[in-house]
Amino acid sequence: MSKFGKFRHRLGIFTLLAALLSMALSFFFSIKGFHYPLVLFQPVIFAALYVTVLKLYRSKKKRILEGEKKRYDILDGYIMKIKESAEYGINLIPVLIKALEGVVAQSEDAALTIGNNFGKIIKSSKDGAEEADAVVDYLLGRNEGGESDFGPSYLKGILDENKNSLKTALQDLEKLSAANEKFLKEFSNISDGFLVETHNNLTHSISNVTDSVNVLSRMYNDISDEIGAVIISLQFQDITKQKVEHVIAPLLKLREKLERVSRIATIGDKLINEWEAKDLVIGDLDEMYTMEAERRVMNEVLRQNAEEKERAESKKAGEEKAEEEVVEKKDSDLDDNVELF
Amino acid sequence: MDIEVSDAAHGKVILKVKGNLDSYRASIVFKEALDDLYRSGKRDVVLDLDDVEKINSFGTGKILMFYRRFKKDDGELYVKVPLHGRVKEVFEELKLDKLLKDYS
Repeated sequence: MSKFGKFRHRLGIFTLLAALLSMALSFFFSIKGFHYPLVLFQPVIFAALYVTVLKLYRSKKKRILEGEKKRYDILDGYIMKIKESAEYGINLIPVLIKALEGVVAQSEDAALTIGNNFGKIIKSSKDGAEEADAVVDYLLGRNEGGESDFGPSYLKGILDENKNSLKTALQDLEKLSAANEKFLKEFSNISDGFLVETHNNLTHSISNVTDSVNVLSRMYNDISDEIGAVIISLQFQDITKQKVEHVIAPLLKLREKLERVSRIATIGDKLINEWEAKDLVIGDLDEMYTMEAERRVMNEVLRQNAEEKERAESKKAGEEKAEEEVVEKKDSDLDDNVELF
Repeated sequence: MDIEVSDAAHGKVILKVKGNLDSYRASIVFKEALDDLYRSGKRDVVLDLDDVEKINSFGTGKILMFYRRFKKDDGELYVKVPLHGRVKEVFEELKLDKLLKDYS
């Protein structure tokens, strides 16, 4: 039974008892010859009193409940806003994380592409340097004096071939011109000097060319090294990834906290709903205790009172009749002692 | 330009070139084929230039480069003989016929 029901029950019993007591007192006084003028209205008065008190109680209770409801409505509004905000955050965070992961993936792809392209450039540079070095080594020989991977250079072979050819030619000339020994001797000295000088000049020129090509080869290698350094600097990608991960981690924690907030808000909302359900019960009670219900209660009280009154009146009538008979007997007995209350 | 690779006796690999070795693009394909063989651990490679009509510095540079690379790893770059036409002339002019060992 609800608090209101208990109150109503107690009030009903109290009112009934009060009505019965009043009726009893009225009856007692009527026996003594004192007629309470409002005795006939007593049931109505008590019923009205009952209904009034009940109405006052219900009205007070209703005001309290309405105040509570208003506060709960405000609280519910706040809770709903918190819940909405939390759920918005819960739904937004995965989107943000996905976007950040997309940025990481995109920059990873970009870094990978750049790295691959630089790798190709490095390989081309290295291959170019290796090829240039091999060609120079083969054609011109090593300028640093080291042993060539190809043996004697191509150019040295050509020069040697030419030198040998010239020497053979000179020897043939020497045989043919034996008669003019002096001329041949001078010619041979001039030719040898000329050939040696030419050979030396050519060797010197080749040396310069070799130097230049070696410089180019070294430049190729330097470019490769510089590009290698660029690739190392592409490690910024790892730093970016780490930084993004450092953003994602607190976002995930924030999401956990928002989920907790949402859960708490859901519990709060549930409590509010339960209260609203309680409110509905009160509404039902209100409906239950409508005027019709009160009328029924009042009718019941009136019915009980009427029965009580009937019983009291019949009893009173019987007693009056007996009393009259006694008076008549006394009168007849000429007894002047009339016993009053 | 196409390149075919096939195994030969004594662990040798024959690299058959079909097309001319006288352009940058062709030289890159040729170099990548030789590079693949090198990276796969092959050290004795035979160049089959029967189907090559023209060759210039784009081709000869790669031959010299890989000749030295294989040689440094105790390998050898061979050339299938006899050579023909312009290829034979270039090889003789540059004395590559004397540098590379014959394979027949």
